[in-house]
Amino acid sequence: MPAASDDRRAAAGLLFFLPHLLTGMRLLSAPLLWWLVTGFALGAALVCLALAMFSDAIDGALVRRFGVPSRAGAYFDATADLAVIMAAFGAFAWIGIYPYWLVGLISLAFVVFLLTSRLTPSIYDPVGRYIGGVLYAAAFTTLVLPDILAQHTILWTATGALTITIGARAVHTLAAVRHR
Amino acid sequence: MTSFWTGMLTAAAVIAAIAAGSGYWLQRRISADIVTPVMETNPDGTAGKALMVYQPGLSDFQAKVTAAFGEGLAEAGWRVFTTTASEQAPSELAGYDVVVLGAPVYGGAPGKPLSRYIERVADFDDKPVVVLLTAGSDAGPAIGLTEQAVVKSRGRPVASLGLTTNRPNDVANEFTGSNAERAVEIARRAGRTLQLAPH
Repeated sequence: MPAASDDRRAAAGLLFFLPHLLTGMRLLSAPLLWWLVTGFALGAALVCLALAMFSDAIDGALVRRFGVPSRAGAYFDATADLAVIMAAFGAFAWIGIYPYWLVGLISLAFVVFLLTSRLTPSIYDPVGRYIGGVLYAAAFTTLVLPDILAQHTILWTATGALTITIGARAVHTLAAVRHR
Repeated sequence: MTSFWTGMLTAAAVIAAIAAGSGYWLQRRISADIVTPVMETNPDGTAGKALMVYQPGLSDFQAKVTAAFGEGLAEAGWRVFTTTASEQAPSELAGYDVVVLGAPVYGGAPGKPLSRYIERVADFDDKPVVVLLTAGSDAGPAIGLTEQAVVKSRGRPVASLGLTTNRPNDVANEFTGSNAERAVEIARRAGRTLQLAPH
């Protein structure tokens, strides 16, 4: 049955590339999200962000199930997350919801991640792996709850979470280097 | 329990603690009166005396909008007296021709210090009142609540302006800059063009 075998191979190939396809689409959604938020199309921005969050939730599971987890794939995933998060918070800063220093703090967290990732055995540390989810949730809540008090609670929660993450990442890296 | 779920629960607990702490601290901050002296601008103005009482809020948005409105009033020839909503703010309004009330909107209602100030005044003696609110989204309901409180205290709402962070303020595209900068310019123009209908 060569035809059936070819079909299975094609399906397996598709499943192999599907996670990367989802990650790539998430990366491409970043400029769209920026454009929607700065144009105050916040309902459409919410749908765009929700799809990005959904793809982030399933692409890792798909890689583990059908693909081969790799350091390059993990970097691609983290870069797509950063692009979406930076697009969201950059746009929020652009329209005046959040200060630009929050965007700077997110960038700093990513730079710390890049600088320390080669020193640790795993790409994600036990705390840093959650910060993407926290920032996604913060952006999502910002779009769902357009209230100044909610925005300030989100701002300080994100700031606290990022500060803890950067500190924990540094401690985790130091511990990994000492145990070498 | 696996280490994944232990880590997940620990992270969730830490984030929830930060969020709860931030929420509690912010709630206390927005409920507290901030005392500032009464600042006078344009002392030579001849159009009348305007008292502006506002709640600064958590960001500088309300303060900037209020300041711009006051500058507009001064440009139009008003003597402007500005202070923050607190027990120290003037509650005797006999010497003023118009009262401007400003506050950010939290949870769909104007900030508590402004509401308390309106209660403290109790009798606006039919004075014209301008309501100037800033909100995340629609300021309309909070403007309605503020106007009701003013009417209840025998004030006469003559103009209201709601400016937001999550909605475009300058729909007609008359100004340049960010949404917040346009809000400031809209407030300045509103102050400059304030007309009090004869009563």
